[in-house]
Amino acid sequence: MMAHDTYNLMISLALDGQLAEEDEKELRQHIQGCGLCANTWDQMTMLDAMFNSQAEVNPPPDLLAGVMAYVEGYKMRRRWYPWLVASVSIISLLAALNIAAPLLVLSLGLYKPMLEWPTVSASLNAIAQAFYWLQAGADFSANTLRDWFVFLTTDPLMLASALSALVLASIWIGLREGFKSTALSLSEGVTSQQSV
Amino acid sequence: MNDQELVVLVLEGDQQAFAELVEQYQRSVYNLTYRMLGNAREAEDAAQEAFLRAYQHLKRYDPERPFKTWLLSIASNYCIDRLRKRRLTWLSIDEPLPAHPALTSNAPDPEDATLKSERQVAVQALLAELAPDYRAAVILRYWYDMSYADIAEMLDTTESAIKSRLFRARQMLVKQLNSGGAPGMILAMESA
Repeated sequence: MMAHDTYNLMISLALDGQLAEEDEKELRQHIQGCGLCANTWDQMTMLDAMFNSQAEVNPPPDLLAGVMAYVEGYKMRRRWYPWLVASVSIISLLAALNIAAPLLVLSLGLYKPMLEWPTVSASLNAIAQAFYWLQAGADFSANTLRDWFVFLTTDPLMLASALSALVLASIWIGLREGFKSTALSLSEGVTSQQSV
Repeated sequence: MNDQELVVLVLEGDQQAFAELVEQYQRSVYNLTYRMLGNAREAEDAAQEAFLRAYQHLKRYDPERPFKTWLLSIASNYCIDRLRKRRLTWLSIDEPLPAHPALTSNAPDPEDATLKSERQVAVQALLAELAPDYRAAVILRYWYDMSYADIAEMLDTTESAIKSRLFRARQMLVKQLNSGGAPGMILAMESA
């Protein structure tokens, strides 16, 4: 006599049409004499009927369009992806070279023979010269400004003269602009009267 | 034009051919994802993902096999993965509950639609009790009438494993029914 579990497995197989004819006969005989297995048979058959009676559900009407848009998005990403990877790789490589190359040149002393190359040597000299003149120009400007400031602050008469000159200049500019605008408005007034 | 010919065209870059395949199988794929995941929004997402995966791996498709079986195997395995991940995800309490199918149904007779949807809710509630592997086996067996061999191939396992999964699934479902089960279960069983 087999265990109930084995008969239950046979019930499951029978529902799927996977049980041999002889085994099915044995199962039916057992069910007739076993209330427990008969109950399991009834319940599994009921489940079977319940699942088999289920209708299909309708897919959403825009599923096709959604899938095609999704696929198109994927194709787009795939088109750009190699370019993106290549760009990131090149940028990373250049950044690494930018750091590694000067370090290598300095640490291995490679700059020494480079200095002997005429073009490199001349370029470096020109750059150094340019920096020298720039610095000289900046120094001269700073010194001149400083001297002027010292001169003006140590001589009150000169400072008063300079300030007076600034005030007179601004008065002169103001008066000149005022006359110009008055003359302009007067000429516009005459023109409009003539046209009327 | 048969599926294999359409696949060849897709591999040659014909987008329209893929649209034809989608149109032909969207119903099957959507039904599978709906049964597996239990709600329409997720089912739609999963169906889209399954079709995209099919498109991505079309070169691996073996023309000796039916295209539908291959496609459904992608969809079912994706749903199994998704259900496994879902277990690890915290559900947001702000997320609105899905509408009852009767409320969103387009059927002309509301009473009939309600009965049908009650049955559907009951069946979905029963399926939800099963582990993803078991659920896939039950769905492929009942809704797609597939043989043990086909299901085993689709889920990348053996026939005896499928035999065992279907048996265990039925045992669990019967137990669920005996314990009172999901809402609407009695109605569903009576009307089945």
